[in-house]
This record gives sequence, C-alpha cells and structure tokens, in this order.
Amino acid sequence: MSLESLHRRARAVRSRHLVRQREFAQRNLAGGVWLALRYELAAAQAAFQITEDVARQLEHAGHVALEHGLRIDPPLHAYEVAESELAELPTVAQLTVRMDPTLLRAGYIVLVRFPQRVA
Amino acid sequence: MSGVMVVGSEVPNLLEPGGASTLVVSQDVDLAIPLAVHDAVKRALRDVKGLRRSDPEPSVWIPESDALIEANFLGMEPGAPRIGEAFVFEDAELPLLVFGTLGVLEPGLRPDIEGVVVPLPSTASLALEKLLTDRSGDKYDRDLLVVLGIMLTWAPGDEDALLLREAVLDPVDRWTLRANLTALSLLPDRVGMPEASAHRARIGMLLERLGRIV
Repeated sequence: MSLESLHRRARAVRSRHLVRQREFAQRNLAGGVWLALRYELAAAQAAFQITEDVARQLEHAGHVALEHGLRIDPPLHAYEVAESELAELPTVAQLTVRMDPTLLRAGYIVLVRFPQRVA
Repeated sequence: MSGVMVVGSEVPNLLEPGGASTLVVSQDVDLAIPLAVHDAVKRALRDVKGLRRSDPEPSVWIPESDALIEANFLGMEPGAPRIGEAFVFEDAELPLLVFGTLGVLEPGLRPDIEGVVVPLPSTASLALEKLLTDRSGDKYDRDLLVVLGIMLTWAPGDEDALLLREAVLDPVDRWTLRANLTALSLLPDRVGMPEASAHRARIGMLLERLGRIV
C-alpha cells in the first residue's frame, strides 16, 4: 500500500489554499476583476445585449458603465437598469447570466438586478 | 461511533423527509472520522462485509458488488479548524487524509433511515465547510451544488447560523466563501444535481446578507 496518493492530495489542498491567499491579497488589483465581475453577475437576474447606440443613450440618461467590465479586454460596457426600464429598451438578445465568452464578448449589455441586490 | 459523521453529497438527500434522495446523485459516501476514534473505526471496519480497501487510494473502500457504493474515509479534528490545511494520518490499515477545514463541522441531526441512525453535521456547518474548501474541476462544481442542496433543506435559523459562524472567520476565508457563492450562482445546470439557475435569487440574497469583503 502506497500513501503517495494521499500525500499528493494533501499537497494539492495546501497549494490551492496558498493560491487563494495570494488571490485575496490581490483582490483589489487586476486579478480581482474577475471576482468583481462575478459579483455583478451573481446579483443580476437577467442580462441583455444592446447596441453601442443604445449604450450611448443610456449614458446620456445618466447611466454609468460598471467599472469592472471596462477593465477587461475587450471591454464590457455593462449597465444596471431597473426592470421597468427594460420594457422601453431595444435589446439585441437575452444572454445567459454566466461568465462565458458570449457574455464577456458581448461588448454592451444591460443587467437587471434581483429586487434585493448584492451590496 | 462518537463523532463520526456522513459529510458528503448525500447529506441533502438524507435530510429530505424519509431520505427521499431526490436532490443529489451521490457517487460515494464520505465519512469524517475524528482522529480520536480512529482505532475504534479501524476495529469496526474489520467486521464490514462487501467493501475492501483500494490499493491506489487507501482511504477509500470500494464495493465488491453493485449493491453498494464506495466509502471514502476522511480525517478530521473536531473543534480545531485549520482551514486550507491537510496532512496524512499514516496507518497501515486505515490511513486518512486529514482536512483541516472539516474541523468547522458540528454535529447535527441524526435521521433514522430505515432503521439506521445516520449522524450528520449541522447543515450550517456543512455548508460552511463546503464553501471554504478549495477544489477544482468537476468536484468543485459538484460540491457547490451540494451547498445548494443543503440550502434547499434549511430550516428557519440555519442561514442565520451560517452567518454567525462566517462572521468570525479570517478575512481571506470570508472572501473565499463569497467567491464560491458567486461561482455557484453562475453554474450551468447538470443532471442529477439541484438547478443553480432556478435558485439564483436565493443565492443572491445570501450574498447580500453576507455583504462584501473589500
């Protein structure tokens, strides 16, 4: 009987924890952008792709693109809108709320929050 | 046996009325063994029929027939959580991988399933453990969905219990817990597991109650 597999798994557990500590230390730097974006998406009940023109209209109306989306490349211009605003808004397509290439490369999106949003 | 608990993906099933087992398809049974009772467990295992120790994974006992599923023995040190730590408890008969994070577990319900009393951890402590444990790949996704399965069985006060336990953790662990909850919220649905997409609002509310770590 070899215990090497157990020792290997123990090392992997400790290693992942070290990585996690490093990620925590860098949470407010570039690497933290992904978790920040996940937070925004976790707080959203729905996401819709919009055109650049519609995004400009939203900005004229006072909406501001979420900071974290602008920090990725290509930038993701994501705007929070109320459910009541959505009815008036021309959208291109509804997106699955997920950190996947379709959403991350959509360019311009609106997020509709759950009624109680993440702080 | 004192302190031994079932701690794996089967727990949400066992918490359903009558052990209905509709929440999670379990691939094995995880048994947490306090090191203090390791000898007693080892002696009891000598009387177990139908399972034998796996040579490549010596803390795993594999079934000799399709009627049984694999038993995975994990070491724990109750009341002494060392989150993110792990070491090997060497033994010629029953070696254990001791997970420091399992130390957060507290005893909970002991449902009677067809005449067998099954000791379980409290659901708050098990959700906490799973949200603090770093895994990767498929196991990571499954463990997060088990958390959702646990949440679906929560009684009033269980979520509050989780928040109380969470509030006294180190910042890195509190941050990890939130990161894992956001990942759970965005997981694709999969067969045999609770549907994350159907419960995103509930996960969002828990995140809101937890607040952010800046």
